[in-house]
Amino acid sequence: MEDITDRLGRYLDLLSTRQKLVASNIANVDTPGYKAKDIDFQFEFLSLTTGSPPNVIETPGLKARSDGNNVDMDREARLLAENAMRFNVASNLIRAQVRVVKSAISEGK
Amino acid sequence: MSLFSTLSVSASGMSAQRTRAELLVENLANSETTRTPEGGPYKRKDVVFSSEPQSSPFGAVFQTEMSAGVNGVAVSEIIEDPLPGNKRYIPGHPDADKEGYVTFPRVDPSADMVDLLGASRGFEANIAAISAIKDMISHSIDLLK
Amino acid sequence: MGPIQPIVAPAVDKIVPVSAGSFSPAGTDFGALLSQAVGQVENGQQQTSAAMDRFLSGEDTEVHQVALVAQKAEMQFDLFMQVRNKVIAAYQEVMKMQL
Repeated sequence: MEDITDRLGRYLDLLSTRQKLVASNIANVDTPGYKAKDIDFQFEFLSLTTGSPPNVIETPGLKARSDGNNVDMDREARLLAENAMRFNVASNLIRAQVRVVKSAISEGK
Repeated sequence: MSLFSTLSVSASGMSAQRTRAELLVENLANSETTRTPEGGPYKRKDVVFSSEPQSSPFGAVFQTEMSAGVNGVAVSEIIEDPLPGNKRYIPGHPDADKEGYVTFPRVDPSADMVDLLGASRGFEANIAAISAIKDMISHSIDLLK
Repeated sequence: MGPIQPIVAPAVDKIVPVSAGSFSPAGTDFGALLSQAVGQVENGQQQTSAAMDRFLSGEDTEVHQVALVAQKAEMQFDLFMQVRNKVIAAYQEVMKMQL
């Protein structure tokens, strides 16, 4: 049980880090020279290290406009919604796990 | 910088886009202004954005590892268009010069209208970000129940 | 019919007295189990208040991280209470036995 909640907790950590970067990208959509930032989500999740902050990278594969800014608003808007939904799913999974364990403990009365 | 402080990143985005929109509206309203208190035609104004780390009133003074890459935006400068305006030949105009030319502001209304749309979209996007982050914080709080 | 065998007394010296705190059906040492559980509970409480402090002061911790630590600590505490209750019940059972 501990293992599942730890992994889900790591998932939540990564989602919130990613969302912070999405918010920064959105705020800076018109900042000249700004490059969109992200994390390599898959890699960070599979690397299983809890507690260490993930690596911030520049989002690959984006085209820069004439002012040097490469933020793709459509991509950021999509990530905004997806991160929030995944966070919702993961936190509900954790709550379900906690309920299971708690009732297992109290069933032993 | 936690999710809470990230709200100030989005707030900075809203503030910057709003300033930009205000200046664009001012440009549009003054696109035909040939006389200003400083003398001469209206000079077009423009914003310069730069990304900056945001601090939150509740947060630590120093940047933690968690705030790597997280930056808000600020209006670093408001610049006036230094170039001379467009001249039109209107001899009877009160602001005409000796040759009968009136200098009009270098404002391109259609370009500024498009910019205004961009500012408005940017503003809305930051509002969406605040809403999404508030949801995530709310779910986190539910974990405590 | 062979010769009558003398009655041999059981090997009294081989009876090991039960020491307090470790009456052990099926080999579990309740004493050690209890102190282990107490240690975990204390650890859990410490981690929870540390996480809360970090959240309140430095913005170094997310709400969900505090929540997870708090939930784990609470589950450890619940488990500890159950173990403690079981141990006390078992002990009382034993004490009721007429020896």
